[in-house]
Amino acid sequence: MKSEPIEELRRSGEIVFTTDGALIVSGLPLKLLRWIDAQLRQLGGSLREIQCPALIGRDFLERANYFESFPHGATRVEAIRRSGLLAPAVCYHCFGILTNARLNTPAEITCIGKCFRHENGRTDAAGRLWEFTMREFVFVATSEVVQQQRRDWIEKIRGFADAIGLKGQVEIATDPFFGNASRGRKLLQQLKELKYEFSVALPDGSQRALASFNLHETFFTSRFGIKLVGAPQAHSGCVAFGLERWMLAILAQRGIDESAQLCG
Amino acid sequence: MKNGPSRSTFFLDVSEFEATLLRFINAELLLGANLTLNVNSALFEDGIIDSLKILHLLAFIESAIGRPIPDEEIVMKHFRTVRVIAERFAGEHRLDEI
Repeated sequence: MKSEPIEELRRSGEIVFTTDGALIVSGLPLKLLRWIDAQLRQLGGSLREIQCPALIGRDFLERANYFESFPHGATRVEAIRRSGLLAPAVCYHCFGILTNARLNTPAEITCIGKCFRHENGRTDAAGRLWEFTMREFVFVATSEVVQQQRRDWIEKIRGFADAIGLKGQVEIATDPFFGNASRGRKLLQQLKELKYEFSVALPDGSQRALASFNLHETFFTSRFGIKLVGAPQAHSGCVAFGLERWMLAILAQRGIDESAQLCG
Repeated sequence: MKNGPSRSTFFLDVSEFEATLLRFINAELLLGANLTLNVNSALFEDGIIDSLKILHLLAFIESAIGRPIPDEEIVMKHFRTVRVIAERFAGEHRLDEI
């Protein structure tokens, strides 16, 4: 990944990293961001789509054991006589609207929204942002179907990356989806291969995840009372994409002219 | 863990380690679970082994083989069943001893 194209777009004002960890984009970067999302939606097929709000109820996150896993991960907002939280992921909204659902057929939903993760204040030009846009595909089905859907998505993204000339690899993730509270949970996630990531290399040799492919087993369905008719237990999974990271990675690897051709 | 092997115990025989491991899992980890596994049972399906039990299991195996197991070795291909664990770790120990 090269930094020159990003620097050039910063100089032209088409990419602005704000001091508080957000991104302002216009021109080619904005066009590319929208194009990436359109490609991902196309890969997902015709699905029910949810546009998610930035605000999320504390009760949703408590129900999802979010604070146990990430005690300081959520961003709190204050207003006169009110306070709220900003969503750390959009799939929580999906489970929120599926609460106590009794599904006759497996559910597959796509959702998009702004997410906020305050990772000890760390932000960088490769897309580690406090505020970013997340596109997710969420599925609720039997264990076998959810696992197959994840395998399918991994292959789709490998194919998509190849098609656009983006070099990266899919590997088992080492950072936990369900938090870093204990070694046991982390090892169990690793051993059960619950989380894969599609990552690209940064100039310093480290890896940056652009997408994650997650199995939740019955973690969310049990907490949100989601049932699937004919299945002893409904399982869920999700595939999540950080759109700004994709945009920055494509610009960095392919350069400005080739990126413009891709989304032209 | 009540019945972990002592540091001086060596499971040089894969089938002996397999049997010891199976006894530990059924007697200790699955105590009260109304479930008995065999050497080919999948250990990590249906929530049989949770995040606490995996730490007990690792401590037992580490004590048996006499070395810590690095996190990167804790992957499904080494831990799928009791037989797979025994073949991976007792076999490795036996080779070390020769």
